Amino acid sequence: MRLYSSSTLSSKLKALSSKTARSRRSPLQTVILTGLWTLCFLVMFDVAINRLFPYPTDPLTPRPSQMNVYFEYGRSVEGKLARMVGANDQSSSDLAKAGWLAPAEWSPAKLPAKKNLLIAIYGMSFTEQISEAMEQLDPRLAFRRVEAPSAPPNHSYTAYLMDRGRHDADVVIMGILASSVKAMPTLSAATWQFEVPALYTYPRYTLEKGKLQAIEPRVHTLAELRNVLNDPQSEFFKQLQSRDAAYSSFLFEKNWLDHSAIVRLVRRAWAQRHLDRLENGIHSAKGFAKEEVSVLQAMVSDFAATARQDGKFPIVVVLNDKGYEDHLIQALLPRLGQEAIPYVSTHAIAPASNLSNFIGDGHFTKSANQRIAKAVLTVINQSVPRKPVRGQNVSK
Amino acid sequence: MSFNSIEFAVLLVITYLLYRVLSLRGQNTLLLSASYIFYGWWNVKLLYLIVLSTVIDFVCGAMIDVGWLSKQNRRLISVVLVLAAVLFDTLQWQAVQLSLLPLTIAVNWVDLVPNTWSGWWVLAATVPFVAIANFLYSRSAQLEEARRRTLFLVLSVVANLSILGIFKYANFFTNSVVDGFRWLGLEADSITLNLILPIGISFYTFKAISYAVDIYRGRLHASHHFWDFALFWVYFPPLLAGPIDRASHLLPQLTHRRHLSFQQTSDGIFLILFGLFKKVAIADGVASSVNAVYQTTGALSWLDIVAATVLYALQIYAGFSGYFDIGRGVSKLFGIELMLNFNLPYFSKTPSEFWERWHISLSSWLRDYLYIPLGGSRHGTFNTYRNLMITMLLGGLWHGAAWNFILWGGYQGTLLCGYRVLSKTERRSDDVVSFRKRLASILAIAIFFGLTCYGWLLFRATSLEQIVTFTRLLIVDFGNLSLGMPKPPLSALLGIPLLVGYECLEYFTRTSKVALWVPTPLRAALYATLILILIMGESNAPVQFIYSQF
Repeated sequence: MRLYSSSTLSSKLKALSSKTARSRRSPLQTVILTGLWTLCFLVMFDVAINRLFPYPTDPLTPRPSQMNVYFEYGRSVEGKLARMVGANDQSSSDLAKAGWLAPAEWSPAKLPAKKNLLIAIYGMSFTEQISEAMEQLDPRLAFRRVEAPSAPPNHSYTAYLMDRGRHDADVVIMGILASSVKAMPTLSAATWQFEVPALYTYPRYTLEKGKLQAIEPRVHTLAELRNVLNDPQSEFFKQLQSRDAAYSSFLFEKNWLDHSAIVRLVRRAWAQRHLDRLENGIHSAKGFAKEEVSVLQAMVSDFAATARQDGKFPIVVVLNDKGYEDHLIQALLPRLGQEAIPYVSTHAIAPASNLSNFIGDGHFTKSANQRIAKAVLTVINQSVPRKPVRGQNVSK
Repeated sequence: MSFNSIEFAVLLVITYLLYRVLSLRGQNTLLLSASYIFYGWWNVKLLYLIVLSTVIDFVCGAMIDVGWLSKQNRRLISVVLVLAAVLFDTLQWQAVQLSLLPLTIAVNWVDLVPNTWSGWWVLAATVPFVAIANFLYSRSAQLEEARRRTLFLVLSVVANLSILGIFKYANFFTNSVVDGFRWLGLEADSITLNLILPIGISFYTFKAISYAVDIYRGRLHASHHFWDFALFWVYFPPLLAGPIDRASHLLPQLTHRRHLSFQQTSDGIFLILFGLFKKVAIADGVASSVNAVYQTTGALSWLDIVAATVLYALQIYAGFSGYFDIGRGVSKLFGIELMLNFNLPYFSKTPSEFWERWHISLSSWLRDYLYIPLGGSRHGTFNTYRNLMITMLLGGLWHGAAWNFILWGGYQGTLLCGYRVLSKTERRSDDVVSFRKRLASILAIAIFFGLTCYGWLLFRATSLEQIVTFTRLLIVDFGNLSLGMPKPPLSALLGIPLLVGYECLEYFTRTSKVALWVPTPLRAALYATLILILIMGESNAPVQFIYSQF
């Protein structure tokens, strides 16, 4: 049996079709007409998207809606920078100010009152959340936090080096995030964090005769970046072009195409492929590429050796986030074991293969952070004696 | 090379432009070259396998049909086979560095030929094989007709199934035997063959078997033009996603002059666009959400499993039918029609209707070359059910070398048998269309969609343990609406309602060309919407086409 044998919709469509047949056009005319109409609708969609989901031009505007952000992901990096960077630091967005390597601004340098251990921690939001969980577990801990959005290992390692001799922390922690290892051959977060770029810079490291060699970025502060922003011929942009593996002129340079929502979507898709290619060269289903692993191992070795030299207790927190399984800890384990470097790997506590360990944005859940924090505290408590708490009655 | 890659777009544009200005012979040569490039792009070495099976089935077809092969053809296929061994397996093409901008070719002559004996074995085996085959030819041509026809039918089927068995199932069966021994407490060493699964192997193996069987049954005459036959074998639009087109349908289109109509081109472009939309915006879009649930080792809720399984049902359908639509659209650009493979499968109300709508070329193949030869429904109730189960179990195994595919086949067989039992007691209804009937029909579609989805759970599961866990959760955790599964991207969230709406329109109007009926502005609005969502979907991480591994 056939249902809907006398569908009115069907007959209406057929009627429409016969009307079309009456005004029969030549194939070429039909193609041109359909093409023009399609183009017309695409332009209408473009205008409508720009009208419905405009992005605020003021960098200090609180975070816009998800849809507004979605259609801006594909704007050129320079286009985004121009919006984020105001005439001075006060009028620049928080993201523009985040992550710059400025040791003078990092605090505290000394153990605060009512605290018994100062820990300097270098990393990103993941390490921030873990340190907050540690503080909840043991309120007598004090943290000197140095973080940048999705900081690559280069950033954390350089921050640690620049911070040497500037604080009294007894414990130094370096967090390494698996998903940020792909940024090791870059000089700025602006190139590889295409969709929502942070602007901070950091050196790129290479290994020459077993020694780490740094390629210093030409820009070190937001003020320096502001100076070069309107100069496409600046040395910094030339340096990115030649030394930053994630740089692509189509993705980076601002032009009139930024005004089209559809072109922005195309650019976003292009960026996805471009960055996937970069990532595929560094990480595959088998693990991380040898070159990056060698550099990373050298960083970890140097971090531990110099910390011990300075009388500090080093800990490496290996953050295996979603999509990377245990690849990072597998890459680092030989060196960590060989040199007896204290470490905590999240893979043993909150494996990346378990969906319930993560929240929607890819960070660990609160309970996973607490478990990781507990593990880090256990490592510290086994080896680092606490100082007497200042400002507290000893007899108590 | 996948259909949604830049490389394919370049290949298609060049091929299409040249195709328009060439004669029939030129067009066929062009399509054959494009097909070899298309397949070889993925792995040059496996082109030899394609050439080998082409030659075997060309010879077998001719020997079953007329019992002889012209001297010219014998020489030609001997040379082609040896050349294929040299070009595709012996020469090490990684020694050639090609740069397009600027155009440079650098050849490292030392590395171009293999420096170990293992690199020469294919050539070393091919030369004696060709010599022996030529020697045996004259003897086999003298055989009595019935014996010759049976011999070459068996040879074709065995050769094709052997290639499929070695490349696709060898590891599965050896590992299963080893696991079986372990289960019995005995130790056995596992031999794992380091083989790459040739893309689309199941599609062309079934095509080969149907070619030989159809000639044997007298329904088809063998091709005597080797290059036309080679094109039929490797014609690229249906190579990855089917359909398993019969030679009786495709071969005549390849040997006769094609007329390229405007309507065909217009249909073709729409199908390519619609296929890309389905594959990129929907199938690739929902993949990360599905994977997050099916690859997790953590706790899941009832809703997680239900949502991920429904999305997987959409992923496999949008991916498979999308890829097929692209292939069909591309083929239309060359004036060649492929058979329809999908006809709104999720609107099925019964298992038998589902198999008339889903992967039609496979289900009709299984019916014609397995179910009916087994006896079909001609020898009593028990034998009918047995034949159905055997057919569906082998149909499941066709999808891949894993127990969950066999389980899925068994599940589909059970549904078919169960439906057969129930439908015997069902009263025949008249043709009156009433509101109650419509409601019952919609209810039947919804219930059967639920059953289909459970089948997809079996199909997608990564282990038998996961099947048990998920099934248990579906029962004991029923109604738990907490959702941990990540949300699909915007392209999928917009694309799914559009696809469902479009298919509802097709179903209720009973036409597959809704888009071409409506007035130009409305059609253009649909095209523009598809393009917009497709562009959004281009930022989804591309996912391998699920059916290419079958």
